[in-house]
Amino acid sequence: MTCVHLLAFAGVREVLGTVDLEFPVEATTARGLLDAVCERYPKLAPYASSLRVAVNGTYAAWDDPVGPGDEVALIPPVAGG
Amino acid sequence: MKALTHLDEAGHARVVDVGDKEETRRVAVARARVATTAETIAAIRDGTVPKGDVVAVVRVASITGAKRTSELIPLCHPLALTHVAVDVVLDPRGVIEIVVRAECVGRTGVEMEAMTGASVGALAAYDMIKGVDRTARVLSIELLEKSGGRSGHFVRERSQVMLVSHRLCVDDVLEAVARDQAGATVVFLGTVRDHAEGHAVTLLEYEAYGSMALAEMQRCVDEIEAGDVRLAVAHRTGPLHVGELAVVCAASAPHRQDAFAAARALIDAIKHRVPIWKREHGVEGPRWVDWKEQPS
Repeated sequence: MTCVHLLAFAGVREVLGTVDLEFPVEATTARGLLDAVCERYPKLAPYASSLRVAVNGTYAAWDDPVGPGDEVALIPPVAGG
Repeated sequence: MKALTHLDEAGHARVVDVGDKEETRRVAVARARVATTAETIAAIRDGTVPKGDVVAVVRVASITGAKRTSELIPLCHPLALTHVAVDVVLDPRGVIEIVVRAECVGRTGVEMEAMTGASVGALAAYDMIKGVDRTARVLSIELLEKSGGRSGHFVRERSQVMLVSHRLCVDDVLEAVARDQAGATVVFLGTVRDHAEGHAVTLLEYEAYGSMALAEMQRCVDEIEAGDVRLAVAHRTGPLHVGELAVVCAASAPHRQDAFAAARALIDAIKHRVPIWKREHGVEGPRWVDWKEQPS
């Protein structure tokens, strides 16, 4: 099994305790990946419905494919400006 | 703590030892801009400034400034310059632009020579024109490009979308939307305010997913730009105090209605989509804005 490169920012980074990690995954979807991360990091679950997923620098739809080698970011509610 | 390279063991200033570094070809380009009136620019062009030939004096002053850098800037090495070139550009809208290119083959960077040359050129320009325009002022002194050192090739970006960790410059964003077709330019400035939802705020820390933030800002710009509307945006990262600029959006268009609408659409899209977060520091300690557990 290989991995996605998972990036964590802001609140997600603090819950996961790291800025990035190699997260082992089979081919799945954005939704599937988020569920898998929440399973491994239960403390993230209460925030899950506020998160968006970006794959290789672009927002993904929930059923978009995610596979080994992708850069996947968990995007908390944005607050720029 | 990282050792301070320009202090010795006793804490005294020193010119750092570069004796073991390889000699390489080094190039630096710096620019200074002086704001004055359109009439003054015309007088410089026509050769009617009472003090004489402004462009010629500025050029010689910049060269002298570049050569004297190590005498003026305390910790600079004396460098054997191999080339100094000065471009003086007269913008009829009232700006004198002085671009200095300095080159050497050596062990340390040549950017201070280019910067000092541009600075002295700008001061010489002021000296030459102050009799006709006392309100003239130096707008900026900045490094545009540097190459040849271990730090790699630096080029100052002036693109439509910028994400920066230093103080935002409104002029940079305005410059990116300046066009001859524009009859209206609208600028939105987002600043750090001292309160949020009834409590005091002392500091905001901005964090960004850098590569995606830039790409997403560009997508916002591309989606909103239409016809002759031109957009640009610069966003800050890092810690910001009350009153500091967090974001600058600009929109130019032939007519103001379109410029206002586009500027508004741009800041709304940025706040909604660009992966940037802020941590608010207030009486209750720091917290990430909008980060809360969701009702299940």
